[in-house]
Amino acid sequence: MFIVTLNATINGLLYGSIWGIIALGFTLVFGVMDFVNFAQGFFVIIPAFFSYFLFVSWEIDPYLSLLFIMPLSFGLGLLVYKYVGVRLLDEPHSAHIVVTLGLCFFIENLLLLLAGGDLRNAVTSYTSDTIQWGWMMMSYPRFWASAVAWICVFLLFLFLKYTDTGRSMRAAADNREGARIVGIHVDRVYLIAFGVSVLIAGIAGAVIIPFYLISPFTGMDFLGKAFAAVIIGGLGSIPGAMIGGLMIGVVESIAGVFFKASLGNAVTFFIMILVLLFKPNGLFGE
Amino acid sequence: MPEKKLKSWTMIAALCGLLGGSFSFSASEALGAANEVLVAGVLPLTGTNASWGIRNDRGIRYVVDWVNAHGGIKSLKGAKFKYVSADTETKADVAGSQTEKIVSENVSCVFGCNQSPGTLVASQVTERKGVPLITVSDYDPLITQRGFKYIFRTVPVMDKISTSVLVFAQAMNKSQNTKFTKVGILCEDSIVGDSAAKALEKHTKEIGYTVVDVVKYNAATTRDFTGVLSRYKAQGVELIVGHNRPADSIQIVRNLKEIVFNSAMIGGIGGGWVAPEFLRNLGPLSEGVIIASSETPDVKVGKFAELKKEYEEKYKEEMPSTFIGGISGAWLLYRAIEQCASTDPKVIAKTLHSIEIKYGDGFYFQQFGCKFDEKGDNTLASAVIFQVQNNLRVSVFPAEFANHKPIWPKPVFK
Amino acid sequence: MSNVSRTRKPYYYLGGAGGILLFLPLVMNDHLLTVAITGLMWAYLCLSWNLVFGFAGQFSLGHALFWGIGAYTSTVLFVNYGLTPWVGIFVGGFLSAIAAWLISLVVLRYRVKGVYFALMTLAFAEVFTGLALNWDYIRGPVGILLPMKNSPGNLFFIARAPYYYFILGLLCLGLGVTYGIQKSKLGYYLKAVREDEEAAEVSGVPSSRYKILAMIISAFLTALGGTFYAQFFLYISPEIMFGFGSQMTMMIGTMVGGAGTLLGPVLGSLVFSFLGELLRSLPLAHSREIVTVERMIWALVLVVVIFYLPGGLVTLGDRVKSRKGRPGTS
Repeated sequence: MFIVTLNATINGLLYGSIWGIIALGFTLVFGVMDFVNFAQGFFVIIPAFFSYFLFVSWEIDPYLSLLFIMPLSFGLGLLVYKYVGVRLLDEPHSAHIVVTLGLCFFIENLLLLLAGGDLRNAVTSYTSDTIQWGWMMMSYPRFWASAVAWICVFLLFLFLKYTDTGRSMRAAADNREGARIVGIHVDRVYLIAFGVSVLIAGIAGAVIIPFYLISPFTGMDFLGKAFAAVIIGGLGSIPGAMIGGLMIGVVESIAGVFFKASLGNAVTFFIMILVLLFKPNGLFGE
Repeated sequence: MPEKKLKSWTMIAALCGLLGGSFSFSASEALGAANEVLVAGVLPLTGTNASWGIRNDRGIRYVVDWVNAHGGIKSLKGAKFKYVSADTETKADVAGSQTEKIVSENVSCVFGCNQSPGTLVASQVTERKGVPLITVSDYDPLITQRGFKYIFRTVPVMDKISTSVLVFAQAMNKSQNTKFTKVGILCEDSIVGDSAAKALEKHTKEIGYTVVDVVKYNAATTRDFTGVLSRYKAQGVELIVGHNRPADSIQIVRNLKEIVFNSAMIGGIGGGWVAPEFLRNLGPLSEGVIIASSETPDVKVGKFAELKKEYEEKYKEEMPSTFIGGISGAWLLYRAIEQCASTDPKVIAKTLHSIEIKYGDGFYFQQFGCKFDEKGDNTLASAVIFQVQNNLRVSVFPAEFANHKPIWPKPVFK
Repeated sequence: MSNVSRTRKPYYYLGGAGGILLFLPLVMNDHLLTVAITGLMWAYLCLSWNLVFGFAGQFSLGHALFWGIGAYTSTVLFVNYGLTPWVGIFVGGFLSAIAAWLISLVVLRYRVKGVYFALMTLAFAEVFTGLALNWDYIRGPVGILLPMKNSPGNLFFIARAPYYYFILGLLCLGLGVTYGIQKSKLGYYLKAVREDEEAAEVSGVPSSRYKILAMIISAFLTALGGTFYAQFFLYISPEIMFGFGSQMTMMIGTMVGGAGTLLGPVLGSLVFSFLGELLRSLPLAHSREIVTVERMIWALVLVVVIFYLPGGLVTLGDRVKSRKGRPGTS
């Protein structure tokens, strides 16, 4: 039983890394420009569908498809920011939520029209492979998906700490007016931040398609996970998003081992409430 | 302030006018002409159950077109069917209002709704108005427990189907001299999943097998079963049974492989286990999986084989159970109308209560024929067990109807 | 003189519209009545949500919770104890109000605002859903089926018209309460809080207390709507009652129509209801592809309206007027 619990924990960490990275995109945008992007989940499944399409049509492995998906996602992010995001920056959060929800609705139906409602995933040769190391058992595609996720996190960290654009982003997040005064092109910084957030979502989409079943309706599921992670970890905090994601992954995995009926989501949200009550800015929030 | 109010009320009044106009529009569109029999399908064509609804819809249309192409309804002097489908958007209240609408247009019979809550609400409308509602896919026991006279269900109730997997296991244990008796139940927490879990637990105890555990998970939020399945493995479960939706049934088999859990049987009951996505996404992993349903994919009766070929060529997918449900239900209606020679819904309902359809008659392919009791349940409805062998679903039990021998226990994952 | 007639005119229109609404059941068939009833129900629910969002300025994403509590309370009391829903509806409202009060105390104490408040209320709703799904006393995921019979003493009718008048009554109640709040001290203070909470506090407005009050009233009204749903549709389940679908409808109707106004939510909700029904009535509406495309257009319309009419549809009249040569107005 102990081994079962350990393996479940590991499995939870793997899933959690993915939830974390989706949450990361959400929190980046919120932290930098105070924008609530309820459509983040859909920015994950659109590239997932695209990757699936590349796989079934031309047998391009999802990891290889990243070469296409990354620039396309980034571009999509820039477009969405330019036509939707920038107009909402000064509106209250509720407006962001409703507009991005409208966008969700639109995308969901568009995908339904183009791809139908069935569930799909890219059934690659390694989709059901397992890595076995003594007592440890890990799903091969999940392991690699997590690995890619963490590489992304690391690269993002480097970007924010050591590049000019990255530093400008952090400055703008802290103080918009101040940043402008100092000469930072705030609008350009926002544009790139949004692009990066959608880029990360795109990477997540491509690496989960080997093992995760998606349909046009899966977008909202991802959103729910992202929220929970971001609330627990702290809105606007990057390490927070990842920690939050990992926690959710582990809690859900362990719950599966010990509970008879899945209080599933309820446990996660309960933790969310506790965090909001005692540490409203999240475990790592400012 | 006053101007705002004025504008708003003017708008509301204008909308009322618009509303009235739009309805006269719709009313005239669907009314059956003198030589037509109007039937409707209130089905989820969009929303999460869309894949079921669309295939059910195809099935009904198929029979409708066939009848119309072969001289129409003879007892009504060659009258043709007019079939209209209304989308429930997989929402129970929309199912209700669409049924309300279609019933106000003089429909003779309604098919629905591929969603138990939807069927529950829609059947209230049809009962109030005295129009028969035939459901070919909803297993929830509540549907026929209200003393309604206008509800008809061609598929077995969940209890019957769920216990069939255990009956199969019992038979296999006996004939192959094995002793796999530890049962792990894993169902989604929907109405149907819940009744399946209860029926499974009860029956396991009745036959003297061990219920290791019963787990009901929330289908909307659960994506991974590694935790519960690892626990089942550690607790020595040998027979895994459950009612699950498509994503979950696929994930369960995958997770079982990932944790190298080679149980003696994986028994799926309807739901996702019979969906085309199951085989499509699992490929060779599905080898040996046992599935209970009321339609067998390889039956050798009547026109089944040619129909199957026709479907597969046209739609490039395995002929699914909801399609078979649709054609069976539509054929049942056709026979009923031929018999009573009337388009009056009340007369049709009466005929449905008395008619008996043989398995394999025309397009009736739900096991094993149709004869309704006064509650609307099909007394002849039974479950059949099929197994995935070489990436095809084949019937293996009961022996009288099986076309293949079962593989027992389930082969190990490769 | 013109001043008097300007303030009298809207009341004539109001009376006229009211009269039309009262006599509609005589001309509509059952299907139209059902559509009208459903439309009015959502309009009523939007009004309720508006009290918290439009008036108190709090973005509650968990309002389905109150709707569900109302429905479940009256239904369980009826099914298990035979208590007539005429009484049950108020018990539900009361329980819902208590829930709102507790949640508000907890939430507002920590000064949770904006998107945090929204997510917090959503979290509460989700936790409750999870609990409800596992609570056998209320039948869990299976849901509860209500009997279909004519029993006016228990708020069940075979005919549709009685339901119509009931929901019309609820709508009037909602409008009355909203109007009352608008014109009262509560409304005045809430407006101050909405515009600038800090300034209001500094001026001595006990913002928390009034926000909680708005939440309680809103929860009570929403719960009444929940009982109505149960009595009309005769089937409830945790998925239906606590799910996000109802929340979406409440939000969109209110925001598109005009939050914080008296008629905005009603207008927005009715527009969507009618548009939806109109689209379903078109000859091609039976095709899956067409329905999906319609939904896409709908989503775009929503986005466009929010962009160009942030005050909601009620401000359409003003916008049109300001275009016609009144350069000074915004």
